[in-house]
Amino acid sequence: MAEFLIRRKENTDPNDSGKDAMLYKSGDFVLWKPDGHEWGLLENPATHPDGPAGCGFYIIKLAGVTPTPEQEARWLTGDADENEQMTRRRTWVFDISALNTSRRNTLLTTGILEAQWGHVRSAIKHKDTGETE
Amino acid sequence: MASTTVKSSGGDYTTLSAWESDKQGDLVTATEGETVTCFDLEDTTAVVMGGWTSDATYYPTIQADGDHGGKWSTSVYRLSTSGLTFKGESGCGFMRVYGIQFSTSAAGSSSTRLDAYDATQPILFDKCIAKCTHGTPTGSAGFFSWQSTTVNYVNCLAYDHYDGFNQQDDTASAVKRFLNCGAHNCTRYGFYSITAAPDSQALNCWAQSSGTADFAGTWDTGTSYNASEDSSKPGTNGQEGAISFLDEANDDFHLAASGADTVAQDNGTDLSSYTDHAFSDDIDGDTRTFWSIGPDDGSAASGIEKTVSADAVLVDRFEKTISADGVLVARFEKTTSADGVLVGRYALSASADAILKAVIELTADADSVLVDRYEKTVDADGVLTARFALTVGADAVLTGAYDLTTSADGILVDRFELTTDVDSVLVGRFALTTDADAVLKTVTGITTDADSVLVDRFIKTVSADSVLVDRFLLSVSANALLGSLAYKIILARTGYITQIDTENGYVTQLRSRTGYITQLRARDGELLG
Repeated sequence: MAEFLIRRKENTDPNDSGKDAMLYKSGDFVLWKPDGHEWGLLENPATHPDGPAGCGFYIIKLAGVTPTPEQEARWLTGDADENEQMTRRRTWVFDISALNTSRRNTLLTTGILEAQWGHVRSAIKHKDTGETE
Repeated sequence: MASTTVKSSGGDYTTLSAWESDKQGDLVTATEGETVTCFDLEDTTAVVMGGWTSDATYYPTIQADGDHGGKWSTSVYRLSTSGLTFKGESGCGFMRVYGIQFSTSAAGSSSTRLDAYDATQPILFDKCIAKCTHGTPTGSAGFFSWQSTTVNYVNCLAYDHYDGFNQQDDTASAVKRFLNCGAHNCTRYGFYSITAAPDSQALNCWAQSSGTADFAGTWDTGTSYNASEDSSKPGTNGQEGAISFLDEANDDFHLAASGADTVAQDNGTDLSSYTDHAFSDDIDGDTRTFWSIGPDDGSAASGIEKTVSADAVLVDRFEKTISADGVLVARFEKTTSADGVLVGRYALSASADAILKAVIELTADADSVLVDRYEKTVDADGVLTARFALTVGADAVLTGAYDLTTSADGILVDRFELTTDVDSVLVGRFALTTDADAVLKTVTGITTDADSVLVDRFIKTVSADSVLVDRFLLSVSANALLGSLAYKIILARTGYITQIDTENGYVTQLRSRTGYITQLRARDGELLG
């Protein structure tokens, strides 16, 4: 099982569209860690001093899922490769609205969701094309 | 300045990347800088700093907790990935990075790359280390900068990359400065600079064991005091030759001990007043005293340093002796007053493995008259084996002496003390002896009068279980006639004499506890009772 750190809060720069695109948006994958990872105080919605809603992240725990290098490359990178200027922080998103009501409510309330791959697969989307995993 | 931590457990974040995603934004509008301290862990998630807004007052700072000691350390935070490890994108201007270790295992990815796109926002990397673990890198750099990036690399070290430092730029206003940096065993270049004028500026940098050339490209006219193993050193006042490192085979690029190196040691220029980035320490955080070339300032050969006042009066004299492997084996220091009078002397001696062997300290008064002398000696395990102290009066007359001897395990076995009067006449002597278990064995004391005439002497002897087995006391009058003699025999419980008292040379009392004579008294030759 892998645990994914997903951006909950939207980072914005209203004065500079170029920089704004480089900032993490709600639903962006930040990184993943193996099952059982001990998250930091401000990473974990369960320990954040401002509670789950005040935490900048969701944690999605997926049983039996370890991202392939290809998935990792899709989910954890933006539009440009490492030798080019970044035009967008992430091109794929974890779309909370695509979850069923129960799971969405759990995630919004606790900030943490334990699910199976099949439960969330359709929520992982390309931002432009809407293509899902 | 907001401060957070990256720790494997118990911190705010577990990766630097998560910190970046949570703190990125407009620091200027928020009127608050962001500092993250990274504790000991291997962070395997690549970091991209992008989209930030900062200025010279409010900027991001990334710093390591602890000191890597100028050599890659697995006890300090390190960012290690299989691709580009750390990238600074547009908005990372004014960023400061202290003591971070970067590593990539990719052949063609850099450990660090800066694409700042704003030449007016200088970035700082200080005391950072970058290495490539691939073995045959084909396109990586330890520190790569591109696209209108102005950056100061200070006390940084890169090794086993394709290029150690690769700086390319198409904007004249962007400046790359390499100050006391080093590049080792890079497949192509140690330092490579292709920039629009003004070009990169390298001062006090060394490159060694490079595949193609130690330095390549175009360099600013201020470039100077660099060292290369080949002839490629740029600028003026350079050095050529192989630098003697402390342990090159194990990637320890500190300069060889005892000033053994002649290429980099002492051959740089003082940058403590350098206009664009003044600094005065080295990669270890040590204050630079020699201004050697490269990240490490090195160490002095065994030698003497003197400090004198403006009127040439010696203020301090310092001398150290260092073994071939860099261990301090002796240290000596003298301090004088403003008028050059010796007021202190201090000396340390150590064994080859730096265990303290002896300490000697002298203190003198304003007239250089000795006031105190102090000495300690320790054995090979650092256990105190002897201690000695002298105290003298204002006119240098001995007023006290003190001496301790201890066993191999530091137990006191002997203590000796003398006391004299202002004329140095002995007025007291005292000695203790103990066995190996520190059990008191004997006590001896002597007291004399002003003419050194013996007044009192006593001896006590105890058994192994500290039971008093013998006590002896002798007192004499002012004319040294025997005043009293007391002798106690513990075995008196089996009879016989237990005490004899005398007066004016005559026996005045004879005592026994059991049997026979129990008391015999006399005066002026006549038996009284």
